[in-house]
Amino acid sequence: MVSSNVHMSQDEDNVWIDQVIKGQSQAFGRLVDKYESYVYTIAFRILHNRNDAEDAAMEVFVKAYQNLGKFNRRSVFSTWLYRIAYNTSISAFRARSKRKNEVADDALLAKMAAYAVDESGDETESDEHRLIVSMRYLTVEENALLTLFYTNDLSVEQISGIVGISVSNVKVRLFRTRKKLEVLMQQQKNVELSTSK
Amino acid sequence: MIQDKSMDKTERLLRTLPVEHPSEDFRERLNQRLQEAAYTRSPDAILKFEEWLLGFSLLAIVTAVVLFIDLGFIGRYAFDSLALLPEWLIHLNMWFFRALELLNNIPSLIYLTAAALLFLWITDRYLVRLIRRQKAFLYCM
Repeated sequence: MVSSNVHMSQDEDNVWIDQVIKGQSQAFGRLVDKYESYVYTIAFRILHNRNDAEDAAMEVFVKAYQNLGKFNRRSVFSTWLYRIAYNTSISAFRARSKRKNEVADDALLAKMAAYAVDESGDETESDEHRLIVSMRYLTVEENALLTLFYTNDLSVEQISGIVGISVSNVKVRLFRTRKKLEVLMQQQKNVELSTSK
Repeated sequence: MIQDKSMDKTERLLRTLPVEHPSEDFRERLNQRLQEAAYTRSPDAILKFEEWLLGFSLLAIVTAVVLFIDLGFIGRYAFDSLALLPEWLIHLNMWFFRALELLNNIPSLIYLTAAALLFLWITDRYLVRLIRRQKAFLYCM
């Protein structure tokens, strides 16, 4: 059932792509509708800033629109689009790092602060908070891997095609990143406990 | 075992991370960017039209040159002697013939080629882009 849905989704994408190539530009809007949140999520998790993530997401769709004729359909459209999103976001991150020290998103900082002062929050909520804070200490590549695998729900094979590393390497990196995240969360828990005493 | 359990917990938490959504004006700004991008993009339809336009332009130039030569010769050897045409047309034909004589050397052919290329460049630079812009206006999402 899932497989047939995936095929239907691919067929649908291919129909829209054909329409765009034939000059029916409005069909591109359907592709944007379908993928804008996923593309934006990749950019946001890498850049940690809403404005920068929106700029990167926009860049991704413009690049996709301009190069749609070059999409050879050897991979599915989403994989091709996420590869553009990954590369664009990484480039934006590097360009920004050159300009200035990384600027955290105000909204994200506010969210983190709200978590920090919320002592009445339940265990799950504090875990979520620790996860969000800990993810900021991961590298951009690690954040991208987690987003592609857990949020965008891609297979390791698809991620391998996007990031440009082998399937086994993707698995190893995912495992190591989870482990690193777990350590970071534990460290944070210890800090919270020591400050609350 | 404890390690595995905590791993499961991390994975569970990772799976609960939400898909982020861009701001409300994102789409509007994206549409503007896409409209701008449409200027530089060459969809197949535009490309075909461009090829057609180029072919037509070349044909028009060749036709113009042939007519130019023909009118010059006709004016010189036929209508002028027979005096069957109105005087202004005969004068016009004579001008064609004089121009033909002026052009009847290699530097002139180079100028003519340069003029043809300039014409093609202007056509491509302005006319095709104008058409693209019109198409871009039709872009709506």
